[in-house]
Amino acid sequence: MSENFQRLRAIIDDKTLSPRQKAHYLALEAENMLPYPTLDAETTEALEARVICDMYEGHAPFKPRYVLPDFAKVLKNGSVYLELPAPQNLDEAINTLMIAYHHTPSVTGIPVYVGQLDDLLLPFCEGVSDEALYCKIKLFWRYLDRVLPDAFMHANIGPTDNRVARAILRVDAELKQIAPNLTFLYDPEISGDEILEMATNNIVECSKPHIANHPVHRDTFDTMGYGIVSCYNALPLAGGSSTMPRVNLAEVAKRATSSADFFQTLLPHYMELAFRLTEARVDYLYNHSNFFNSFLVDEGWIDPDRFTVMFGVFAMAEAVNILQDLEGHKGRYGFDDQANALGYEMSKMMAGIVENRPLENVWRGRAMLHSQAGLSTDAETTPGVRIPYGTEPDPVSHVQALAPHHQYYTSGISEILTVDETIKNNPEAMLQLCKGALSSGFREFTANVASNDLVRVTGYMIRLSDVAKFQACEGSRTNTTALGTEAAEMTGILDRKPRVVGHELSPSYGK
Amino acid sequence: MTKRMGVDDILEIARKNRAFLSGITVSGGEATLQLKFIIALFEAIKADPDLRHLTCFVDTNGHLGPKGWARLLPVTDGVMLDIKAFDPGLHFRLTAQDNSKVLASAHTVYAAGKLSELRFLAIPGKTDTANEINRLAQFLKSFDAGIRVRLNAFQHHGVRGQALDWPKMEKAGIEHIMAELNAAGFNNVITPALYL
Repeated sequence: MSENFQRLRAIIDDKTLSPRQKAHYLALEAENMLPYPTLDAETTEALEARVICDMYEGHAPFKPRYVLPDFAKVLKNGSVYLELPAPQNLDEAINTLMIAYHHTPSVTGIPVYVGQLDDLLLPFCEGVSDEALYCKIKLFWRYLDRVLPDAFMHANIGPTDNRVARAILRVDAELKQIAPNLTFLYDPEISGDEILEMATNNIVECSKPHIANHPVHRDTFDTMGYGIVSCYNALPLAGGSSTMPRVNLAEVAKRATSSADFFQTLLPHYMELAFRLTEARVDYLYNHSNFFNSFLVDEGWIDPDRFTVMFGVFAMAEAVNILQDLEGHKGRYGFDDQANALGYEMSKMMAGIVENRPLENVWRGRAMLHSQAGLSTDAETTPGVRIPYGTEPDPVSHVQALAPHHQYYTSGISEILTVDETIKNNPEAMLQLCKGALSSGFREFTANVASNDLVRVTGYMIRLSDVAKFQACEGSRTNTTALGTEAAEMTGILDRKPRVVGHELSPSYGK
Repeated sequence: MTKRMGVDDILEIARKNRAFLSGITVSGGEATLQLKFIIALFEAIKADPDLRHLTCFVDTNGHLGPKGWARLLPVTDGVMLDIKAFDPGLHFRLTAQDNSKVLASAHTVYAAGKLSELRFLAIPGKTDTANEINRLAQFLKSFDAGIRVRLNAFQHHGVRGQALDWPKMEKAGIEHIMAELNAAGFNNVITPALYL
C-alpha cells in the first residue's frame, strides 16, 4: 500500500474522529496530493525550513482563510439561491442566520464569523419581551455550540448598550460554552460603563468576552465596517482574509550575525519571501479556484475586492532575546526597557515593509500586519509579540510593556492577561484594568481568571474540566502549574478528543 | 520589606499608572499612624491636575482621635473602618486596645458623610457569637439602613502566631451573619466571593 493510501486509511479508521472530521481531513489530504502553487527556489526553501509558514492551509487554495459575510444582506433580502424569503420576525431572522452559517466557507469549513448579532437581530425585537428574547438567544447559543463546534467561530456585539447584547452576555455567562467566541466592541463615547461592566463581570465569571477597542478598529477600516473573527482577527466586513502567511521571527533571528544583519538584511528578505508565497496563493484562489463564482458574490454577501491578507508574525520574544544575546545585552523581552524598545523597533519596521509592498487582488492593495497566536505544532516559540507564558509580569506592567506594539497590528493583536482569582472579590478591578488597557492603546483586551473552568488558550476557549477528563482516560499527562505551559500541552490534546475544538490549530491530520 | 518613600515618589507611581486607577486607598499596618504623610499625600493629589480626579480613601482600624479626624477628613473622600469586636473585653483580648475610640471614630466619620464602609472580621468562636452579631446590628442602627457592611472571613493567609491555631471562618457562618443583619434591616452587606 502506498504511503498516501496508508494515511487515508489511518484517517478513515481513526478511533477518535467523527465521520465529519474524517471527511474534512480526507479532503485536506486530497488537496495536498496536488502540486503546490509555483514558488521560486528561495521561497520554497524558506517554507520548507519553516522560517516562513503557510499555516498548512493546503496546496490549492479554493476558499479564503476567513470569510465575513454581510449577513445584514440576507436578513434584508432573503436569498434567491437558497430560496429564502426575507425574514419578518425574530424566529425567522435567527433561522435565516442558522441557514446562512451553513453556507459560510472558511479554512476549516466552519464559519469563523457569525455576525454583529445585536445589529442583525435588534430590528426584529420589537414586541419581543426580554424573557422571550433570553429564551430564544439561549436556544440559538446552544445551536451554535453543538452544530458548529469550533472555538474559532466568533460572534460580535456592541458598541451600543442594547437588549440583544445584554441577553447574549447573560446567556453566555450562564452557559459557559466554548463556542461561540465572543467580542464586545467598546467605544467610550457610545457604550457607557454599565454594559462594559456587564462584559468585564462576564470575564470574571468565564474569561469571555474579548473587549475590542472599537474607535481604533473603526478608523482602521472603512464605512462598510469590520468584524472580529476567529481568535481576535480584525477584518473587513463583506470580505475577509484570503490567506495568512507568517514569519517565525525567532528563526530569522537565529540566522542573524548581528542586530544590524537582522534588521537590514534578513528580516526584509524573509518578509519578501512571505509576500511571494502570498502572491502565489492569492493568485490560485482568484485566478484558478473559481471560488468567487458563487451566489455569495452574486447576492452581495461578499465582495471579492474586500479580502485582505493577514501578514502574521510570531516568536518576537525569542527573536528579541536572541538579538540581545548577540549584542551582549542581558535584558529580557517584556521586562527590560532596552529589550522592549528593540521589539517596538521591529514592529514599526515590519509595519513599514507591509505598508510599502503592493499586492494584487488584496483589499487596498496591501496586507495587514497580524500578531499571530500559534499552531499546536509550534514549539519553543511564544505567540505573536506576547511575553512568554508563565513569566508574565503583573497585569499593569504587562499592558504597559506591550501597548506600544498595538498601533502596528491592524488585523489583530491580543495579549492574554492572567488575573488572580481574588479579583472575584473586586470585579470592578477588571473594569478598571480593561479601561486602562484600552486607553493605553490596546486594540483588544483579553483576560483569563486563574480559577475559571473556561479559559482561553491562544485566543480561543477550552474547558479545563474537559482536559481533566481526557487526562483521566489517558493517564499519562503531567500536571503543570503555569497556565501557559499547561495551555501549550493542552492544545495538542484537545485537537483530537473533545467535541468542541479549535480546528484551525491542527490544520491537517496527525500534524 | 519596607522602603522609604516621599510624597513625590508616590505621585510618580500614580502618574505612571493613572490610566488604570480611579483612586487610591492607603492601608497598612495602620495608615493613620502616618497622619502627616497621608494628609500631605492627599493634598498633593488634589492639587495635581493629572491626578485630582483620583479618589483618596483610608482603610483604618479607627484608633484615631477627634483631633486627627478633624485634620484628615477634609482631604479624604472616604473611609473604610474595621471593627474587630464589640464586647470591650473581647476587643481588648484580640487587640490589646480598648474599642471605645473605634466606635466613636465610626460616628465621627459618618457625621462627616465619609463612612464608605464598615468592616467586620468574623473569627469562629470569637466574633461570630450571637452576642457579637446582636451588638453589631444594634450598632448599625445609629447609621442609615443603606450603610455598607463588609463581612470578612478569618483565614490563615498572612496570619502569624497563635491565631494560626484558630479555625478558618467558613462560608455558612458568614451567610448566617449576613442573614441576621438582613433581618435587622441592613441589606447592603458584602460577603467574600472566595474563601482563601
